[in-house]
Amino acid sequence: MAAQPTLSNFELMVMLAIIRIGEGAYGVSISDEIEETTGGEVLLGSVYDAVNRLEEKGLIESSLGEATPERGGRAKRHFRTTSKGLRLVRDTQRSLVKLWKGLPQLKGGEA
Amino acid sequence: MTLRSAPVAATWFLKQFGSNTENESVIGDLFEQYQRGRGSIWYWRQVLAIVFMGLFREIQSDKRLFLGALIRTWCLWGGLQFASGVVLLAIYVLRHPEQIQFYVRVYGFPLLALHAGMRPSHPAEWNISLLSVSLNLLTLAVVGRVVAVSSGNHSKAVLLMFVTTFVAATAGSTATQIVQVIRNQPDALAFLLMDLVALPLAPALLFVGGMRGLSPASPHFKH
Repeated sequence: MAAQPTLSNFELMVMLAIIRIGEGAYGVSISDEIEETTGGEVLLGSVYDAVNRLEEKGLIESSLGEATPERGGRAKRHFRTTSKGLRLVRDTQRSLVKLWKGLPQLKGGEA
Repeated sequence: MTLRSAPVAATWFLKQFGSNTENESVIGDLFEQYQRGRGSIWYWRQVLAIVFMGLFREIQSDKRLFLGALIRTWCLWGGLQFASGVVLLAIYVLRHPEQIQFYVRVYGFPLLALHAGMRPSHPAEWNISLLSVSLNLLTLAVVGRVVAVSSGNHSKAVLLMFVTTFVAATAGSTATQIVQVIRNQPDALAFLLMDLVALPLAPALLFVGGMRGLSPASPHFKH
């Protein structure tokens, strides 16, 4: 049986951003979504790097949209999660929740 | 709606050294953000991050290959510098035979022969200094071209890696010259000016040499 791919922290954020945005997720919207959620600046390069890795692992797929004038006549590259990707996110969530449970240090929102 | 034109040099750099397959959509994303009011510094920062993340990823895929290519390129540059230094020293000695003792004592012979042609504070040596600078520039263009034609599919990545280390070395040299200027060392200001000129010109010449040597079919590296 092939080993299940794993997700880094940032890859997980990108996957979740793609799921949250739904149809039409692309570089800028993914970066905006992560920036809004985390409050930190996200380099577009990091997003492209992550989506390329995720696509290689078969967790997301991409397609080119139509070229628009406000983008200088260039098309958007749209991303969506594959069923394999969704399954992995669910498994990761389960694992994290299990790890989270019963940790007194993390209760009450104080470190 | 009037569109602002994005920094041309940054876009050129991304087109040359970004991934072939995704270039257009990536440039479109950057362009869109730029129209939303982002500045040129932001644009350049994004471009550099995209290109260098791609470079890092490609180096990671075969570290030994890239280390070997980097060492070979530095050796090539060193060899060409050495050869041009010997030529310059020979010209200089023919013109000023009385000063050979001084140069052997101060700079060593012939490893730092290039210095013989680079004393701009001495007006009689300006023509040799110009020849020295020209040979330096020619050397860089030749190195760029050799890297481009000899590194196969990785030519752009090797070229970029060499340019990066070269700029770092020149920046180090510039910092040393600044210290020398502060200490009032003779000729330090002239050498500092040369380094300041070399800092943007050297990568430009390496790229010019490299771009001319690349075949259009060479795949760009993926990020």
